[in-house]
Parts: sequence; C-alpha cells; structure tokens
Amino acid sequence: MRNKKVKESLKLAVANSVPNVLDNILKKCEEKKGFKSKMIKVTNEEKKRKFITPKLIGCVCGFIILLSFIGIIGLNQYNKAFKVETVIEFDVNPSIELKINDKEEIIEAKALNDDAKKVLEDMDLEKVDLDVAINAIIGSMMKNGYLSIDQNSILVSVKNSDNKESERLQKEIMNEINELLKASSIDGSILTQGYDDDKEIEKLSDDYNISVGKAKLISNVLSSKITNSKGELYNFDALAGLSITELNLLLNDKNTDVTSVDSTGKASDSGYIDRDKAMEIALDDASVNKNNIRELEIEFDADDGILLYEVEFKYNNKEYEYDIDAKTGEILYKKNDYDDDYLSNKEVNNSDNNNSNNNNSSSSYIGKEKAKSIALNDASVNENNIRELEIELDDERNVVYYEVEFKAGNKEYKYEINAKNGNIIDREIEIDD
Amino acid sequence: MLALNEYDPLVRNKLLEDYIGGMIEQDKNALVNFYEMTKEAIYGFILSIIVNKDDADDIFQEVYIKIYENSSKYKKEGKPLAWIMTITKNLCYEKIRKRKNHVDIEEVYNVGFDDKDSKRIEDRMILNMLLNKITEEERTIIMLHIVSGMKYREISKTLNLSLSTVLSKYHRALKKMKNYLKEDMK
Repeated sequence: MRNKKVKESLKLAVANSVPNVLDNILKKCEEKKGFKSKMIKVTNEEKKRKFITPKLIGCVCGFIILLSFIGIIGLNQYNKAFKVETVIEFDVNPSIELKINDKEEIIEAKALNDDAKKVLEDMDLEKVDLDVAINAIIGSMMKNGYLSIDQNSILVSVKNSDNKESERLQKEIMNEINELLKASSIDGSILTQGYDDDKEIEKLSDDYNISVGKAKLISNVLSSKITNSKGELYNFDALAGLSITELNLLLNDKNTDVTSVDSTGKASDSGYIDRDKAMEIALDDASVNKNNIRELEIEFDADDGILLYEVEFKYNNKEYEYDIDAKTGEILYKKNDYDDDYLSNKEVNNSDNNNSNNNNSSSSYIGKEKAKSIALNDASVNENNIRELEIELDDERNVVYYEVEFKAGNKEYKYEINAKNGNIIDREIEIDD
Repeated sequence: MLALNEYDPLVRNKLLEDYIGGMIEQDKNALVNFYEMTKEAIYGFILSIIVNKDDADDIFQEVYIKIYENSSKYKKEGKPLAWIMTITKNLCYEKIRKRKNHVDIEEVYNVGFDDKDSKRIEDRMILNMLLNKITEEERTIIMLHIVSGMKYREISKTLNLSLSTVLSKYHRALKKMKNYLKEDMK
C-alpha cells in the first residue's frame, strides 16, 4: 500500500461525501446580504466608455496638432526619452524591475514583490542614470538586510533585443554591483543572464509570483537536469521559494554550471549549517555513536522552497533517514526501518553456524525463505506459479513481521508473517487488476 | 474547476482573494466559484473536528454564509486560506460548545449511515475507518495537507505548532492510516 493510494482514497472519499448544498447557501446568502446583478455593472462600464470616447478622440487630435508643431526632430527625441530600450531585473529576494531608455536613464522602477517595496520606499528613480539607480537600490538592499555576508547573491537579468548590447550591460552592471558590495566588505556572488520575451517563462513567473528573470533562471537550472537526493529531477515547486543565494548554494553544491548564466564569486554558506552539523543533529536524535555507523550519506537538497540535508546511515540492524532544515537545523522528517541486507546476512550466518548466540534479536527470526513457504502453503499456491514476489521485514507496535507479497493466477496476495513464531498476522487476497 | 489542493499556493491564494473581493461586491458568481473551489477543503477540515455527519453538514453551510457576510472583513495580505480555516474552526468549536458533545468518537462516527446513496456510504466508511484511527490533531493536519492542499509551513502557522511537530504528526498519521487501510480493505 503506497502513501499515494491512501491520499487518493482520502481525497476521493471527502470529495464524494461533500453534501450538495450550494442552492441552500445561495438562498440564505441572498436573504442575508443579497446579490448584485452583473448586468448593472456592464451597463455602467459601457456608459463610461461612451463618455470617455469623445474626450479621448479630442486628446489624440490635440496631440497630433502638437506634434506637427514640434516637428520631426522633436518627435524623435520625445520618443527616445520614453522608449524602453532595455528591461533589467534584480533578484535577491526583493525583485525589482528597471525600464531604461537608450541613454541609460530610468523610465520606470517597479517593485515586483513586497520586499522590493521596502527597498524602493520613497525612492524616486525616474530620469535618474542607471548607475546612480543601481547604487541607490543596492545600498537600500544592504540597509534593509537583504544583501549581507549571509545573503550575498544577486541575479541580474537583462532584456534587450540586441544581444551584444545585452551582454555589455550585464558585464557593466556586474562590475558595478561587485564594487558596491566590496566597499561594504561583502564578497558578493553575482549571476547575470540575458532574456527575451517567452510566453512559457512569463506564465511561470505569473503563476509563482516571481520575476521573469528568476523564472528563467529556475527553468535553466531544471534543464541542466540536476537531481535531488532521491535521484529524481527537481521540479519548479521545489525551487521557486528559494532565494537567489539559496539557489546559488544548491548549484555550487551540485557543481552545476547553468548554461547562459554568467557568475562571479561564490554563494555564502555562513547562514546555513554544514554537513557535519547536520550529521551531528541526526546522530544525536537517533542516540547513536558516530563510530558505529555504516554507509553514511549526506546530501544537500531542496524541497518545497526549503534547503535541507538528507542524512542517511545504518546502525546495527536498522537504517535511518533524516531531513534536516539547512537554515535552522530543525528535523523536518525522520524514519527508521529494518535493514534488509543486514538481516539477510545474519540469516545466512545463522544457517551456517547453528551455535551462534542469541544476542542479536534478528537471529531468532524465521528468515525470508520460511516466511515465504508459510505464505505459499496458506495460499495453496505452488512456488513455480507465482509472479512479482516481494519479501520485506517491517515492524509495527514492537511486532516484527515479514511482509510477503506475490501474484498468482488472477489474484494478488499479501501476507504479514510474525518474524519470530511464523504465525500469520494478516492475509489479504485481491483480484489483480 | 480544479480542487484546492491541485493549485500552486500562490495561484490559489490569488484566486481566493479575487473571489472574496467579488463577494464584497455581492457578486453571485464569485460565491459560486469560491464554493466549487473550496468545498472539499472546507468539508474535509470540518470532518477532522466534527464527527457527527448532520452537524458537519450544518456547519458546512454556515461557513459559506459567514464568509459571504463577512467578506469585507478579510484583510488582503495573501493568507486567505488561513482566514477561511479560522472561520471554519471557530464554527466547529461553537457547535461543540453548544452541544457539549464529548461523545465517544467510535459511537458518533458511525452515525450517518442512513444515507440512501450507496457510493456515499462506501466513502463514508473509508472516512470513518481512517479518521477513527487517528487523533483529532492528526486528522486536522492530514486533512489540511492532503485535502486542502496547505503547505506544512502554512499548517504550522494556522495551528500554532512547530514545523517539525506538524511533519512528524503527519507522517505518523499517514502510516497509521496506511496500515489500517491494508487490514480493512480485504
């Protein structure tokens, strides 16, 4: 029985149990507060539109007359000053978008999230030169603690139809920011990338409420096919909640160079615990001495926007698995199970040497072979006729049992056999679909 | 329409806020959409606290009426689900206080089988069986995560529990349910 099946059954059961009371609710809500018909709204809007249209036409006419006075040269200059030549996005966790003209003056500075609003508070960057604006923004990010020795990474994404121009700007901004951070004794790590209009990326940016630049970076990271500690490819959900420093740390750890992203410096890991600390927390919790464990594996990982260490090891006849929050050191998940390899080795040893002492509890287990034959015997099935045999040792409320699963004919069998006395604890026979 | 747990949290929150905004404007469609989107999440959450089916059904209706009436009191700060679940939780506890029904869970969970629709009886049995075996706190965490699609961090904030407590209770409860489902689905 997989977790997924339990979850699906529960979801389905709830979905099918919801009483159909919408009509009742609508009736009562109407009595209490009433509804406003949408029709009224539409006519209001239509009225507005009709009202505005003549005015708008008037404006356009006026504008055209004005332009004919200004002349062609004036028009060009006017256009140029407000024409967005380049869009630049800065992501730390605050995300800020700057639109600039060909003179590198700011046309618009926009906060893309709440943190960014704090950074841009009271700043009026319109018509300011780009380098001055960068100075002000980086300064404010440091003042507000978004950029620091712990959080030292910033992503700069540049959109310009001319690739060369985009690259030149990326370099220039990277140097600029580097200087600013150095002046405050921060060893920064700056990632830069170019980007173009891309419907898919824009949709991701909308869905996850992150900047287009960050969405682009994450999809680049995903396309580099790095895998998590379980060997699965990462998905957008796992990474979208990470800050740029955290994404950068993950990339450094996986030793991954993302194509089309330039970077300088290293992500700071000073705000996070290291592998040794993660191991210590896990071993402490399991009350196990470091010298006695086997097959220790520690992997850096991200899930659901949280950076974590997955710590795995074996001790005696058990295997342990921990997820430790890399920021706080909190244990997010833990599990321990019987180590099948360990026990099957013991079983072999026991049959070789009947004098083996009974110190280890596993030595008194009946063994997988015996468990299998008990199950087959009970099911009256010949061993030659079974498929997909699986035998695992498990425990529940201090009872250790073998879970024996197999298929025969059109049936699926599941047995739980007490590992000590061979009694059948549970038997489940289903039609195999 | 997707169920609540199928949305990305950010998209989900934005949609919910839009619907709540619509309800302030007394827009019937907003209420209908809101109902369709949240009905499983809310009903599941009620079932995690209230064991009597008739009471659960009553509260279920009251939740939507209360939300519609009080939509203007919602503060738009990106946490609509926490607001919704708090209203639901309060209505549940109000009902419990009124009834003072600290009746044995086993007893009450078997109420409601007079339903004529056999499909619903079967589902109800799965629910009863699953929910009887775990504690109220575990039920709440399971429902909020699996049926309502809340993230562990959101649950820890809504229930005032540490993240690690939520996680360990969740995994423990899931394991228990898995084992009982194994036994009972023979």
